[in-house]
Amino acid sequence: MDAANGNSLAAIGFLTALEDPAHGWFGGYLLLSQLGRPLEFHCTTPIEPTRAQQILYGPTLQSHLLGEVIGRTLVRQAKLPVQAVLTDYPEMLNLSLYQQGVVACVERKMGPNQGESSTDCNIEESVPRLELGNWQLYGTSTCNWQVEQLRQQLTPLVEHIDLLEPFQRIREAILEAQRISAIGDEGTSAGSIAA
Amino acid sequence: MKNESSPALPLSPAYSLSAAELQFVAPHVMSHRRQQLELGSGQSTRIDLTIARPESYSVLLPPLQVRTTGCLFPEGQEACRLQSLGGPGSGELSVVGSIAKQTNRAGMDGGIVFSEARENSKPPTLTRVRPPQDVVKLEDRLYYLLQPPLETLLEMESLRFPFLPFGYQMDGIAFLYPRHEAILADEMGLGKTMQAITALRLLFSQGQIRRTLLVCPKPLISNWQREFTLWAPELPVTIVEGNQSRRHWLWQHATEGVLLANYESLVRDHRQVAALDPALDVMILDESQRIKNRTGTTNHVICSVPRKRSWALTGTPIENSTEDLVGIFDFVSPGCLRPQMKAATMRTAVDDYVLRRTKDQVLTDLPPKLYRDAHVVLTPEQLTSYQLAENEGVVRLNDLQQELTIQHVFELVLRLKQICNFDPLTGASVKFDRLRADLEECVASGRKAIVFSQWVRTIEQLRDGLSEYGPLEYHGKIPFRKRENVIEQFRSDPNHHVLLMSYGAGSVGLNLQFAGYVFLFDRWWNPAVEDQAINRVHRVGTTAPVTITRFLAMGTIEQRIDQVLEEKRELFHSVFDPESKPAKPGSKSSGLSRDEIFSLFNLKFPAA
Repeated sequence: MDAANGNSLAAIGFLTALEDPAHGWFGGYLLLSQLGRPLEFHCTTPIEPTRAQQILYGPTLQSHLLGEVIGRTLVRQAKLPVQAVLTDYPEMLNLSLYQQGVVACVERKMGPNQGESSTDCNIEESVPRLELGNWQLYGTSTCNWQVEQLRQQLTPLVEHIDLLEPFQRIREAILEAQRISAIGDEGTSAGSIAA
Repeated sequence: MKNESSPALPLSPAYSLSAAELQFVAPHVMSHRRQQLELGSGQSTRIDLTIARPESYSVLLPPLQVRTTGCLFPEGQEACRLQSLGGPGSGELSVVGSIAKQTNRAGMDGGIVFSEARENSKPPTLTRVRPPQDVVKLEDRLYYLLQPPLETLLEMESLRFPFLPFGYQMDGIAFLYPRHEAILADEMGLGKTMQAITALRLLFSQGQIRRTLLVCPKPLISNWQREFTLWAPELPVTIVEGNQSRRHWLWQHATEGVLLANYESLVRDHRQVAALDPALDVMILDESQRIKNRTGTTNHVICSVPRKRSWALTGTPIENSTEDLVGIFDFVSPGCLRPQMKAATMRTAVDDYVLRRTKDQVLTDLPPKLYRDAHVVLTPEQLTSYQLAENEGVVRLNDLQQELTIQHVFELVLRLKQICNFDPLTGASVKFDRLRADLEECVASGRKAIVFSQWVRTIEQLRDGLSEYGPLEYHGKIPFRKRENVIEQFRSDPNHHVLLMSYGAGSVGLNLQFAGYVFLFDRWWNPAVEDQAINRVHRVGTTAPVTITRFLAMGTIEQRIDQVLEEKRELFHSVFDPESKPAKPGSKSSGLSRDEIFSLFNLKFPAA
């Protein structure tokens, strides 16, 4: 369910991925209440691009995998609407091509003596950008969100949690799901084929 | 040409693919020679690129298949339900939290919440709540893993603390919180009490539990009451005490909050507690080694209480033998351990149920414990009495032959140990002389000392001999109602330098951090009780090194018993110390066994 319908519920989506050298990319999507409590969670089994995709997508492969394949699939799976989808992977921002609501990348704001953050110099002037507490959020030129509105939506959550912390939860949950499925079956399908 | 599953394949010179790559990405392209494309699907088609000059070639790739798994958690289900009913207003989910917050804030004035502490400590410490191994369903495991860090959970409930817990205490709370079966076996002095109370507090505030029973030794009831007031002032605490009818009424009607009861009263009220309905949400045993005897009434009564969560707190899960731990597990997780298990197997079996940390592991800033073994030689008077008693005693034991019992041997052991303390004829005592000398130094340095003995008679003799140091007594003959006053007097009155305690009364549940010296005037039967006594002083809050003096009369029964105590320590480490090697085959795995007691005097148990 996309973020366009998210006005009726104060849930925020956190979308991230985890790369495993042996298996490929896992994706995870966690919906939190404004207190930071988990409402809904979805994750993918590992996705490994074929040689054909590696050749064809070249440098855009990661963006295709994370945003288009993983991100889009996971966001579609969610039953609850969200006010915004936050990610810690800039490559996932192209989700905004398929999703009308807010999609933003979060990173920790550097202190005055710590120089620019990793993406400071790469963020174009035209993209939406929000500084909130210890974090800065930005989108891409295809992202369509109002800075002040997003600030209002995220402020209650920021009072309770570190905005980067849910991504750590997701990664742990992905590893746990992977561990359980490895123990539980040898190829038996535990999930549904979404795309 | 571009669509989401058919990326454009540019053929301009700058982006052209090699023949091998083209063959790879589009198997139906059979060849790509010079200026021709030859398509091999069905009827072969050849395109002359010099004529057609296509700018791109669309390759149809099968989309990547993504398998997903997911779940909707209880709060999410509720949100879905509300939405299907017409939809709540924006922020509906957070309103519930706000109400809880207001309720809890009323509980404690002042104190610290984690958000306040976080401002001064960066980066913030985050303690994760991890699911126990017995939670097997993926959805349930994910629910635990996806919870906010413990610090955030506590902050969400607006739980305030008189002091900010240590990191290892947060780990302990995170260990207890999700578990239905758990033993917190931290070394004494690390704050098991506050960890248990905080875990309870969180469960109460989240509405997961409504009624808890905490069972502890009778002298510790007031201590627990005080700790609840300090760490969870909002929780209603009811002490189950008084006459029978009052207790029965409380068992029936105190259906919310924390009930405090002692082991003895629980045994007396066994019919009422076995019939509790609904079952207790949590039952906690403090000093749970009290149920180590699997055939004892206390064990049976405790295990019969209907409950949903079973937590045990003990610094000494093994006092004498591994069977002690089996007794505790009868309560915590029946069937998990069997008496015949080897120590290494037991260690694996209890791994997920037991959390044990030592001060050395977690309190690196705690002042050290300095052990001094005072190996003394009996005075001539003591030696004469000792030899006489031993010789006569052994002769008497031998004379008993088939009637010889372990009780006879015990009596001789006790008799000899008493002589090692004081000569019964002259009152001479090398230990006392040494103690007195040490106390002079202790008092001169402005410190206070605690002296432990197993006999009240010895304590009384010490009291008479140490009058200049204002000795106070704390043992079985001191009424319960006066004991707290004794501790307070010792703590605050500068004229009282020495506290004389019995192991039985003073080894558990007391906080005596203000004393800097501990003297073990005689030795107890197992090291765990000695450790408990020492850890009354050496615990969180201790600001200076603690000096422990262990008296040992050389060439006596005390020295022989000491060897057995060392072996018991080895046994404990073989189960709970992850870095220890398994106990050696053939090494003594229990306390003073029957044969060991007999062998103290080179006796053999009479054949049947």
